[in-house]
Amino acid sequence: MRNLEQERSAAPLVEIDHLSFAYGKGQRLALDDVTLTVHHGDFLGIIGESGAGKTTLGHCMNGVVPHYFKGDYYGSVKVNGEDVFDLQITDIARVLGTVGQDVDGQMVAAVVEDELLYGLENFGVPAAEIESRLVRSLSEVGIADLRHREIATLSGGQKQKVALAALLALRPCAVLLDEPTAELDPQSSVQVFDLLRALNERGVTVVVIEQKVMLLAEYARRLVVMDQGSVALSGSVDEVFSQVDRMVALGVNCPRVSLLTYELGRRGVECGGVSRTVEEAALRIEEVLA
Amino acid sequence: MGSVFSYVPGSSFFHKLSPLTMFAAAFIVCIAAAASTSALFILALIVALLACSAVAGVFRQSAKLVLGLGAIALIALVLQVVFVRTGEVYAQAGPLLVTSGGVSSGILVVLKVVCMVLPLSLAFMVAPVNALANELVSKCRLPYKYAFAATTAIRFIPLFMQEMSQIMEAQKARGVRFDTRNVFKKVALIVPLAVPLLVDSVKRTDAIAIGAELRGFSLRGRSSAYRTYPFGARDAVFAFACIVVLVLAIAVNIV
Repeated sequence: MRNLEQERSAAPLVEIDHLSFAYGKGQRLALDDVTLTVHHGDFLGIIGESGAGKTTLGHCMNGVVPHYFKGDYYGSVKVNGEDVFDLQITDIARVLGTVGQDVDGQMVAAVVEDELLYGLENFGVPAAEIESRLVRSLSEVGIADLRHREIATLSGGQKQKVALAALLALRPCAVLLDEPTAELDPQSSVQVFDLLRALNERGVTVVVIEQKVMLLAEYARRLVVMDQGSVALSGSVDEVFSQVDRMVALGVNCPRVSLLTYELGRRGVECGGVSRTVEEAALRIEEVLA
Repeated sequence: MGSVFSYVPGSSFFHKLSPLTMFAAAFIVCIAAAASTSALFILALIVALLACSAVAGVFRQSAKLVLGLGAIALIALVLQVVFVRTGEVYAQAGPLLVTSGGVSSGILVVLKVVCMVLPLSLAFMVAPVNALANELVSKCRLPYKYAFAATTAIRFIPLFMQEMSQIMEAQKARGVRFDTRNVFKKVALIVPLAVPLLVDSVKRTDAIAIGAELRGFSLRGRSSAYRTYPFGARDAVFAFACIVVLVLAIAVNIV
C-alpha cells in the first residue's frame, strides 16, 4: 500500500491532463478534455450548472473514476505525481479526503460517534489518539452535542456536518467537498466556509464543488467554471469574476452586486471593476468617489 | 425514530451486553419459541420479552411491533382455523369448519410469530449493527466485507421502510388512495412503488460503497475496531438464562 501522505512532493496535489471520460461505452462524454492543476495549499471552487460535470470531475480526482465507475477514459489524472490508475482509492483518500454529494447515502453507521470512528479505525489511527480526534472534529464542526445521537434522527444539515466531522477526524492534507452546504441554512453555510478557510490557513488544500457562488466568491482563491463537461473559465476569483457576462451565459448564479458593478462598468460608470461582495463594492466606489 | 429494527442508544443492562451475546440469545429464544408447543409457555415468553424491552427503554417500539404483527398473525390464524380440522367442532358454514384443534393451533402460530420476531427486534434496538459486524469479524473471523454487507442490509430495512412511506406520502399528495379495504386493489397500488424504491436502493448502494471505500473500507482488518466487547459475567449470566429458556421449552413439550 502506498503512503502518499509521506510522499508529498513538489508535484501538484492533483494534475489533470486532457481528461475525457464517459460512464459507458459510446455514451456522452461527462468530461471533455479537462486540464486542471490543484496545487498544495489551494482553495479551489468548482461551479457550473447541474450536469456540467462537476461531480464527475471530483470523482476523477479522488479515484472513484476509474476505480469504481469505469467507462471510456482518456488523458491522465495524477495525485502527488502518481497516476490514479497506479493507486488505490484508499491511497488517494489518505491524501485527499472526500465528502460526497449524497451525504445521507454515504453514512455507514447508525450513531454519529460510530460514523466518525469508521474512517479512524480503517486507517489505523492509534487508539490513544482516537478520542481526542473525535472530540476535536465534532467541536470544530459545532456538533459536539450530537455525538451519541442516532443518525436517522438528524436533519439533512446535521448529517452534512457529521460527514464533514468524519472527514476532519482523518486529518487529510486536502479535502474535496461536493456541495457541502446543500442542506445547510445560510448561517451554517458560512460557518462551514469559515471552517474551510481556517483549515486552508493551516495548510490544508480545499476543493469545493458548490452552487452558492457568493460563498465561493468570498472564500475561494481560484475558481473553475464547468460547462458541458469542459472547463469554460478558470483562474483567480478576480479573473473569473471579470467575465461575469460569460458566467451568466454559462448558467452561473452570480451575486447581484457583481452583476450590478459589471453592468455599471459596461455603461462606462467607473466603480472600480467587478466586485464580489457588497463590502468590496462599497470600498471601491468610496475610493472612486474620493 | 419509531422503527422496530433501528438502534436506540441507551445504557441499560441489555445495551451493555456484547452484541454477539445479544444476537445469539435472540436466536436461542427464537428456537425456543419455534420448539415449544405450549401456548402458555410462549405467552409467558412474550411477556418476559416485553419486560426486557421495558428495561431496555424500548417498550413502546416492541409494543408497536406486536400490534403491527397482529395483521400478519391474523392471516395465519384464519388459515389455521380453516385448514386444521381436529377436535370438537365449534361452528360450521358450508364446507368450512371451525374446530377446537384449528383454534388452538391458530393461536399457537400467532404467538410463535410474535415470540420469534420480538427477540430479534430487541437485539437490533439495543446492539448497534456496526458493533455486531466488528464482533463477527474479530471473534467469529468472518471476512469484513461479508459482515459489512450483512449488517448494512439489516440497517437498510428501516431506511427503506422510511423511504417507502415517503413515496406513499408523495403518491397520496397526488391523490392516490392507499386506504382501500380491498386487498387486491391495495397490492395493485403498492407494487408500482417498488420501482422508485429499487432505483433508490441502487443509488444508495453506490453511495454507501463509495463512501465506505473513501474511508478505508478495504484496509479494515480483524483488529481495526476501536471498541471491543469482551464476554463478561453479565453475558455469561444472560446466555445461561436463555439456554435455560430453551431447555424449559423442550421440557414443557415432554411433560
